[in-house]
Amino acid sequence: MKNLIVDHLSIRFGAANPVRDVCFQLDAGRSLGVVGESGSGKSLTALALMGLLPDQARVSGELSWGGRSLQAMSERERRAVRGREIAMIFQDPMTCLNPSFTVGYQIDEVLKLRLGIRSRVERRKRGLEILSDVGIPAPETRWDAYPHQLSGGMSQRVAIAQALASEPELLIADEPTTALDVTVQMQILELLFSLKKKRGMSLLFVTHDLSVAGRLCDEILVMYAGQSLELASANAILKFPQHPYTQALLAARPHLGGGASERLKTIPGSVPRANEQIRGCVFAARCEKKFDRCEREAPVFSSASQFNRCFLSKNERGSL
Amino acid sequence: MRALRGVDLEVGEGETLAIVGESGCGKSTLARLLVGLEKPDRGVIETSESIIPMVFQDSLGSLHPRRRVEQILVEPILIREGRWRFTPADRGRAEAIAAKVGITAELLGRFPHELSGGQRQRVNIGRALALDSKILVLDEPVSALDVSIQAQILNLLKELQATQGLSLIFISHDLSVVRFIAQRVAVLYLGRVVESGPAREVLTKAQHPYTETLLQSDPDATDGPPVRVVQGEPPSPLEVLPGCSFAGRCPLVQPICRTEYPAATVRGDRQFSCHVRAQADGTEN
Repeated sequence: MKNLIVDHLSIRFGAANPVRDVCFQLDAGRSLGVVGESGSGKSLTALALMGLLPDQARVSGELSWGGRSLQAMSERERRAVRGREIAMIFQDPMTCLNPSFTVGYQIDEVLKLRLGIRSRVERRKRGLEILSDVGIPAPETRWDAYPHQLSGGMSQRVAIAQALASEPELLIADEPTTALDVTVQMQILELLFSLKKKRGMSLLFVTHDLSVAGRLCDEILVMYAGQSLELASANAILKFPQHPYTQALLAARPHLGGGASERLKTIPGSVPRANEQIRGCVFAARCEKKFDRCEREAPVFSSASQFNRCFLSKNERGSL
Repeated sequence: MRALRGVDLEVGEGETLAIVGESGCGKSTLARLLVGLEKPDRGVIETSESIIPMVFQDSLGSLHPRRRVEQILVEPILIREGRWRFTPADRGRAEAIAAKVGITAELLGRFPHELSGGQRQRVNIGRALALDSKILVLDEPVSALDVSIQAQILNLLKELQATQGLSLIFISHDLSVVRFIAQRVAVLYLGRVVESGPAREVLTKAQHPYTETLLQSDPDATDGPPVRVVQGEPPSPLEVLPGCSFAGRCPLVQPICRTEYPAATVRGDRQFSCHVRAQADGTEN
C-alpha cells in the first residue's frame, strides 16, 4: 500500500493563484477530510492529484505517491495510476455517468480496460458483485438500466461502483453527497467509509462540512484561500481547534443541541481573491486575534508549527 | 399528481415557522402557494398582508442581471406606484433599504454578478422587504452559502425579525439552521405534515419516526446513539400508496400503517401522525 505526500503544492492560472501552499500526508489505509469553503482550493488540489487540471495550469511543489513523483511521470505512466491506483468520485453523479450507455456497460468497461479481465462472463459476475457491494438492490435488473432511470442516490452508488471496480488504493471523493437528500447522504457516506475499511484503501474526502468530516474521517485538513491552515486528528479539530480560522468556522455554525441562541459568531469580510497578493497570513484580514507580525510575515505550516499555520501556535510562540 | 395534501399551518406575528423536508416533499410548492405563484385546488390561505414576498435559494438567478443594486431594491416600489423609470429621488429610498440589510453605499451601483453570494442574498432580502411586508417566505435562503456567510445572513434575519416584527416562513433541510432560526417547525413528507410543534421540542424529542430519521441523519448529531441509517429513498410523489407514506422506510412499521393514513394526534401545541407512536402515547396517558 502506498502513502500520498503533498508538499508545497501551488497552482497558478496566469496571474491567479488559487492554490498557494498546500501540504499534507495521507498514510495507506487512512482517511483524510479536506475541509474548506468555496475558493479554498480543495477541489483543485484533488484534480491535481488525479492529473486532471487544464493544460494552462502551472503546478509547482511535490506530489508523491508511493515514493514516486506524480509530476515526473510520463502521461502513459500517469494513466496507469489514474483510475487504477487512484480513483475519484465527483459531486454530481449524473454528469459523471455517460447517459448513452447502460450501467453494466460502464462498469464492464472499467473491468476490461483497467483490470484486463478477458472473459465477458467473468466481468459480468464481478460487476454484479460490486453493484451489490455498493448496496444496489437487484443488480441484475440495474445492469441494463441507463443512468436517467436511476435516482440521485442510486447514480452515486453506481459512480462509486465504477470507481471501485478497478480496486484503487486511494479513493478521492469530492463532495460526493452535496447533491443528495439528507437521509440518502448518510447512507452514501456510511457506505463509502465501510467500503474503505473493507478494502483497506485510503480515502481523501473533500467537503465543505466540518461536522461530516469530523464524524467520519481519521484526520482533517482545514484549507483557506489556497493554503492548508491546520492538520490534526478529527477529534482534535472539533474539540480543540488551534487555528483562529478553524475556531471561527466552528463557532459560525449553528448546532442542533445549541438552542436558539441570540447570535451566531460571524467571520467579518470575505475570502481573498485568487489573484490577490498576500504578504502575511492569508487569514489576517479577517482574524480577530491578529497582531502586527501577521500582516508583515507569512506563518509556516510544518511539523515545527504542529501543522498549524499561525504565529500563535505553541512552538511559534516561543520564537516571539 | 398531488403535491400537497391537507396541510394546515399557522404563523403568528413575529414568529418563525420552519418547514423541513427532503426533495419532492412539497415544500417549494407550499412556498409558491403562499406567495401566490400557484393556486391551491382546495383550501384557503389567509393573511393580514396584501403581498407576501419571497427569497429564493439561487441568489444570482433571482436578480435581474442588467439592473444595478439600487434599481433592484426599489423595483417593487416603482411597480406599486406604476412607474418604470428610476429617478434620483429613488436613490435615497434604495439607500434606506440597503442600510437595513447591511449593504454598503458603494455596492448600490454594482450589478448582481459583481457581488458575493452573501451580498446578493442581502439584496434579495432587501428587495423582499421594500414594501414593508410583515411576512416573508424564504426557500432554502442559506443552503448555497458558505458557513461563515451563512451565519451573517441568519443573524441578519433574526435582527430584522426583532426590529420589524417580521413573521418568517423558513424552508430548509438543515436542522441545525432551523434550530437556530425557528420557534416552530413543521416536518413535511410526501405532501403531508407528519409532525409539527415548537422547534425546541420537535428537534429534541421527535415523535414521528421520520423526524427521528432526519435528526439522526444530521451530521451534527455527534453525541447520542449510533446512527440508525434509514433504508431506501423518499418515494416519488407520483405513486402514492394507501396508508402512511413513510411506511415503506419506517423501522417501526405495523400492518395497519400500510392500509390507513394515521389521524393526527394532538398534544397541546404539538401534533404528529403515526399509528405506532399514537398507541404508545395513548397507553402512557
